[in-house]
Amino acid sequence: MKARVLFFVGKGGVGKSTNSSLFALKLARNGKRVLLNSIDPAHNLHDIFQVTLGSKPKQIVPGLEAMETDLDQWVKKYLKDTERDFRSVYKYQEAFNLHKYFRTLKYSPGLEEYAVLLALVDTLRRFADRDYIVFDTPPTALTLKFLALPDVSLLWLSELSQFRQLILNKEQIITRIRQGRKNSARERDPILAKIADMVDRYRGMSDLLKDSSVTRTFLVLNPDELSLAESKLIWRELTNLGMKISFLIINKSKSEDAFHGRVAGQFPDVQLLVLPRMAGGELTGLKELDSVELPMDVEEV
Amino acid sequence: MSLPRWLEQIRLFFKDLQIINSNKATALLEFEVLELRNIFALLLFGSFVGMPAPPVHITLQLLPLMEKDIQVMLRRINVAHDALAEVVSTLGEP
Repeated sequence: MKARVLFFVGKGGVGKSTNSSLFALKLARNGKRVLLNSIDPAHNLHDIFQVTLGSKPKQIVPGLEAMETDLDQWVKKYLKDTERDFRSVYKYQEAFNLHKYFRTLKYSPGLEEYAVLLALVDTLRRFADRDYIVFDTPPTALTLKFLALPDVSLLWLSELSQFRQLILNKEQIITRIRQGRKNSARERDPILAKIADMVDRYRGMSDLLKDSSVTRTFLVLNPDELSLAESKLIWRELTNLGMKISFLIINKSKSEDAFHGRVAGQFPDVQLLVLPRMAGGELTGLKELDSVELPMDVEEV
Repeated sequence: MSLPRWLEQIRLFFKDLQIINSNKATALLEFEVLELRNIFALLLFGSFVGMPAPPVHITLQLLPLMEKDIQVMLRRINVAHDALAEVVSTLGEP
């Protein structure tokens, strides 16, 4: 894949959307082709760029396209596809009202983060030719869940796969004893095949997230104790997952050197970037964003 | 009855004997496989009976392929209250 993938993570309200917009804009101004995608269920990008945005990319400036993914749409599409498979396979499908059951499934725990992951994979596939794909992520809880999802799924799938293999091996033994040793050609178990298929998909996703030459993660925090505490939690969780945080952005900084020093001490191997608090307060609109200087060389992103 | 025909009858007799024996030999293993299929289905859809289950997206993607396993699970549920009969039928007549 050609594109480099940027994630902006952090506590709610620290300025993930603003920073992702800022970096995306600066990269585009530097001649790169950038796609900025908000996968936060509560979108902010349209307020920052002051244009209406939807799930189709819209050009903001030459080189920069932005979109806001409709996660509900992804859940619905996923359930619809499953329902279609289900109807084509099950013989007694008409016996109970499947449609009603699937309508309530969209409130199942875990489906929201799966929808985020589906949207993520789809974006990476469709816009692989861009130089940069920038993701504005949901607040901590959902982000950590969807980033962990490929690994959690792999764990379950490996257990299920071993179990399935055990069943198939025993069935194979029965067939061999009954039919004699000669024909041991076994048909492929559709469930094992499906599991293998899922393992491939999640393995690819998990590897991509952990590859720090492709994926760059920006942790955004404010100069206050609460966001520092939550940032430490995010740091710990992502490190456990094997993901690396490349940049730490202290947003809305009031130039407290003591705080910067403390932050730097607690997050090793990270490039610390400081963005001062805006004089006017809000950072919305292209003019305002263009007037901000990035605290790093944009080529290094 | 000509001789080859008579021999053929004996051959068939031993062949049937072999089938009976191999069925007897695999009956227990077959029961084990059914039990494993039952546990596999339970593992996937355990959330319905309060067991920890895999993420919903995994179960939902496997659900369309699980018809046979779910049938096994439902059959097991039907006989679950009569464990003694189950054991007797597995072990066979005394």
